[in-house]
Amino acid sequence: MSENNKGSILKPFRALKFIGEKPVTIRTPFENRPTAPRYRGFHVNDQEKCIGCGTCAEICDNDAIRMIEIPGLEPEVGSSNLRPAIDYGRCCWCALCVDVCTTNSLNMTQEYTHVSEDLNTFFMFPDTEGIHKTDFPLGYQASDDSNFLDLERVEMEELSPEERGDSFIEIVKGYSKEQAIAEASRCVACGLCTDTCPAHMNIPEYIEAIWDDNLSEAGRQIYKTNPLPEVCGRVCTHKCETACSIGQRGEPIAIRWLKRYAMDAIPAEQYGDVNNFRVVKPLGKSVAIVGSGPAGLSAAYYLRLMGYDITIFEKYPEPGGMMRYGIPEYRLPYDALDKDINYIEEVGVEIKCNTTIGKDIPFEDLHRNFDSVLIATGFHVGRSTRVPGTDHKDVFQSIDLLSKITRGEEIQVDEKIVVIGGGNVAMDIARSLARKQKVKYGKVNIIVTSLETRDIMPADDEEIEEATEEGCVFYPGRGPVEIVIEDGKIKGLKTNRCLSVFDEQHRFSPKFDENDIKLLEGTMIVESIGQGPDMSYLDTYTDKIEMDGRRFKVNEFYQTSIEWLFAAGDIIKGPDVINGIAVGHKAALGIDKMLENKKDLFYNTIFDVLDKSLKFEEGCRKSSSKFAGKFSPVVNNMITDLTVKSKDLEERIKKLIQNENVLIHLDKKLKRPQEAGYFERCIAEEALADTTSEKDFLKNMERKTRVAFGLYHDLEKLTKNKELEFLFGYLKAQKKKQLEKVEKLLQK
Amino acid sequence: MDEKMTQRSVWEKIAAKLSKRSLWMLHYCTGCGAIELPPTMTARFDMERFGINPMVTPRQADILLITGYLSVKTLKRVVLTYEQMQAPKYVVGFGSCTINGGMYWNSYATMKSLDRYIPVETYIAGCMPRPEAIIYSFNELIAKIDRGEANSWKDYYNNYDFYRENQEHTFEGPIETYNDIKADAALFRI
Amino acid sequence: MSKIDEVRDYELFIGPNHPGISGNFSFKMKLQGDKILSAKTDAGYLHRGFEKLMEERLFIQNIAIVCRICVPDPDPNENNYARAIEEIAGIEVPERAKWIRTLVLELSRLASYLFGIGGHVATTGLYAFSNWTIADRDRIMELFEELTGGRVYHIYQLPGGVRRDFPDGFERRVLEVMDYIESRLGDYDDLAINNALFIKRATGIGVITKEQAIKWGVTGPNLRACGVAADVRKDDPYEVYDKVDFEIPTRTEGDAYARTIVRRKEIEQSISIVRQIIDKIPAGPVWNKIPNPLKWKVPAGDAYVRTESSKGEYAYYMVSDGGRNPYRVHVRGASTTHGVHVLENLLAGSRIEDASQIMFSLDACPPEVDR
Repeated sequence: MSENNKGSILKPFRALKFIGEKPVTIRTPFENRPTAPRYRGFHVNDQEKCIGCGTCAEICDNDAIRMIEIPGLEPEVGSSNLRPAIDYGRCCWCALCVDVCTTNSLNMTQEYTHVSEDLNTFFMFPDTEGIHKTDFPLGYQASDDSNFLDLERVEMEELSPEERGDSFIEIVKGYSKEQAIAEASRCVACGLCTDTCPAHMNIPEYIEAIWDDNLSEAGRQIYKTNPLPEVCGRVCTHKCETACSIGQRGEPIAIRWLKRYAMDAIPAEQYGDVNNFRVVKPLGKSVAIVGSGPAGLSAAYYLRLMGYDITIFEKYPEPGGMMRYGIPEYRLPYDALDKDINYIEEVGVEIKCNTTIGKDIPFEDLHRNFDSVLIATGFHVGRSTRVPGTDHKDVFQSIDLLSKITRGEEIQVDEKIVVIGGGNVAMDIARSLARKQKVKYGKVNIIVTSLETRDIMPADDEEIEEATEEGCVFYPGRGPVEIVIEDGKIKGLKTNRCLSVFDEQHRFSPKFDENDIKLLEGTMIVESIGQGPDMSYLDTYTDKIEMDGRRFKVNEFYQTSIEWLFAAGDIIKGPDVINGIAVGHKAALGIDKMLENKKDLFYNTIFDVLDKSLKFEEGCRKSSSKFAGKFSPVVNNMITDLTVKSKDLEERIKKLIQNENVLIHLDKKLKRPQEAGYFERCIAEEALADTTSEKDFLKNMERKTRVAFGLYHDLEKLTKNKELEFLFGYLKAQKKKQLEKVEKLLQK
Repeated sequence: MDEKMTQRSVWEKIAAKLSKRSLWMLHYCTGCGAIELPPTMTARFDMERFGINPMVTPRQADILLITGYLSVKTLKRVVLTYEQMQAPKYVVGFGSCTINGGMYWNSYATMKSLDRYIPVETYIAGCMPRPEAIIYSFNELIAKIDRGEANSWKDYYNNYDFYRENQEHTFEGPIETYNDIKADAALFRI
Repeated sequence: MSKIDEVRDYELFIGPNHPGISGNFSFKMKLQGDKILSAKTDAGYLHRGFEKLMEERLFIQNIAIVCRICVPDPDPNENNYARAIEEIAGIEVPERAKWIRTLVLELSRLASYLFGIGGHVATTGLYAFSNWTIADRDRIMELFEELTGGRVYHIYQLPGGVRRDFPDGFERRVLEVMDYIESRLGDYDDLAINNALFIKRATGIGVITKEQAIKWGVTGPNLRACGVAADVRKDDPYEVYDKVDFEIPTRTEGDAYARTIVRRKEIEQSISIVRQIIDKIPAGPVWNKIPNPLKWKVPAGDAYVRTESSKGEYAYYMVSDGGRNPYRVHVRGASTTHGVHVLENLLAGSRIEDASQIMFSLDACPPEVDR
């Protein structure tokens, strides 16, 4: 560039070089330039891959994504029935939602044009086709490099097979604080785990409390739905982890270990403070519970908090049921179990051990002395294969052996043992006997055989792997035929190959290959193929109760066919600890409902309030028009004005309720439920019916308008949604104006 | 917008055909979307091919382009500007902020929905919309004028109470307008 | 300033809807004939409450809103925000990410300068020039679209690096665009910069002396046009500015023409920086992963970071109290001093036909003035 300010006369002719050059104009819409391959345009969502976790809605900073329920879509494990819908009146196309998507199903295309005069078309539901159903290529897509999620789990330390092979020390060591906080920070709080958990525990909330290092809040959240967290933190079958959305592409959050970390870190003395436990206000009613397994303890805890007097009757010397007498110590140490049960006793539940109903106390006494009875006795009788030879003295039931090991009694441990069964109980007894064998003989020789092949064995994968590491040898897919006895001693178990376990109707009907015979050597056989209940204590009532196969038949309140008798636990539905806890909690609510009919007094959703608001304005309008022309001109004018305004308010509220897309915007729950009595005081029709004098009418009007004003004022603060806040603010302003007018008239 | 199509006389049809090709846009950059207006107006995308020109005074402009968000301070001026424009006039809402609040949905200083204060003819989605999308929307507007459906300006006279109340509620007090809306409405037999 | 005369003095309200003002901004002026006696700026038309909005969002959500503070030149905002968090939390940025960030900053500076000088020349009536520069700026917008996914708001730099790597063939296209712009510089000079009419109109308008500039806190090209060679890229190098060679052009007159010349010369410097970056950029990762952003707490601390944007010195002061949201973010907008204080002082004593030229030559951008 020259500093030459004196232009020459030929300078303008330099512009001639532009003749023949291509113009820079892009003449849309006749010619289009292509968009970049990475353009952030409108969204598409692969509906098959999307699981409705809601992480995109959480990270969107404009609150543009709402999760809406899809009619006809059923929720499954790991997938909810919600899908994201995006409001293009809020979206800023920053693509944070694409980068945080747990399944990489949300992507962006290269489409960017949408022009319309109808506001409702800007609220779109992204599916695979796009907003205008035209085919646009994908633009900004999710990629693994820039994904925000943390896909690897923090490793949990465990004892190695050599260290743990001969003792009953707990295998899992537990998280330290840094590990727990690191693991808790991976959670995106989607809530799919809560839907899958049988007890619907508040999992995202307590994981967040652990991340915040607020352990008392974590304990409080856990205790809302689960009074046995030390147990579940060790032995739960963690269905939540199979549903975890991080598990779609990575490793799921270690929810069970986090629960264990939180409860281990809270000392037993602080449990009461954590739960804000004060003295329970007694209702004067009592409930008897038979059986102190997970279902019984859970029902006892929640009934006690409601105010009932609870007594638990337990047959065995110590409470706990299958948790104590069925699960070995290396999985669930007894002091952890005691910590939980001690707290349940601390809230005021009385547990009477060594008391057998039917022998020590007749069943009839329970009905006489208590208002209601809950039976939760579980399945403690083992089933037998009943093949020839099972009556030999060296054939045992796994349940009996496990119970004896817990009580510290001596059991027979031979050098070669065969265990029949493929479930978790078989793994428990096999591994317990392996430890005993190691101590007694120095080596392990245990054979485990089951009908199911390896891929459909019902035991947990980790149990089978750990059993293999500890020396158990598996022969899956074989069925017992006969126990071979020679010279009064067992030689072994003769087995056939099992071709299939279930038939076409999925009923249990195994088929065997008679020619494929194998003898599994062993001098002791342990059967572990299933359990059944012991219902002898019911004596005279055994015929009066309806059964559903092996289990009791109950209605939705867990009430049997006898009015004062309820049932929970394995005897109505199994198969694990968390199901027992969930059923116990629901049975407690059922008992409470049956014993005392409580009316639901609260309005919990914004729909209820809007509905009542509409009725109120309608009532105002109708009663006002009834009195039109009956009073002095000034008041008549006010009544006319009131009628017109009420009509306008009705229209507004109706429009809001009927406009479906705006409905989707509405938050369905209030921050704090509103008492029903508030509106009951407001409904105008009955009170105004007797009014004859002008002064009474005005006084009534003033009272009701004041109450409505207060209500709208509260609602304006309660709602989280800006549209509703504007509406309630407007309604409040209208009521204020009316109030001023009425007050002015009253003063005259 | 209740009435889209109205019965038109021959003169009105001819006037629509002529006026749709010479709409003048008010050159008022109200928000951040205005950064995509210079490429549209100048040589790169050249909206002048369609007859749309920038104009400085509202008295001679047809289109008011609300490019993006409106703070409450700007909203007062926009309402005044809108009332100063001569009918028929068209408002085009640009970007997500006019539709439902957009990026600043929880800000104390912006308005959340343009539809409450002045009647809007079309909305364009985007943050911010590309020049190609702007030109597409102008073509749609021209087609609408040709069909006789672009009548949202009449809505201002029909529902003046509604707009006025919303404006006062947001400004927390009455605003002075220098135009007599009722007299204007009588002129159009509304 | 002379006494206010009842007959000859009048007050004029130059409101937000005006083509002579770069954006949504207004003045209240007292004039005597054509001479301006005093002017008062009225900002606040574009206030959105950014600093409060940023406190209510998570750290990662703020990257979407931060670029909207300055509309023509959004990248220094993202850069400042990312570097502030990196300084507080102690996050390392990979080498390649630093080079990419510098490239994005320089391209944004180019686009903003083209827009700026186009705007200034247009106020003198040469509309053809602004047509040219805006059309050429559009090519840089296309480059941004290819790299980041958005034309105007890039949302590309985040704490720990940048979001995506170069697409295939990107370096070649950048060099093509740079060659194209360089070839146009000769035409720009012929049309406007060396045009006798423009020189006559723009010299002597809005003169800032060196002492006034330092007293008023003028930064950026405006300061360099007064003779002070101050540039954050040289004084306090960040990213990879200490590894590339460039000069800082200065002039001494301090008027509107000098400011435009400085910008015009800096375009050449920026082109050379871009070419050096494409040449020397190393390979490697582009992002050091931050933990799950929905559950990420930045440790307590504060940081003050600054960059050189095309408007001037741009700085962020961020305070974090160890939570999920920033506790306080303060933005030092470069146009705040230019658009309010300097403008009022320059307008007093000048003439009404030069008022818009002063504002455009200072390149005061109203969205930055009222955040």
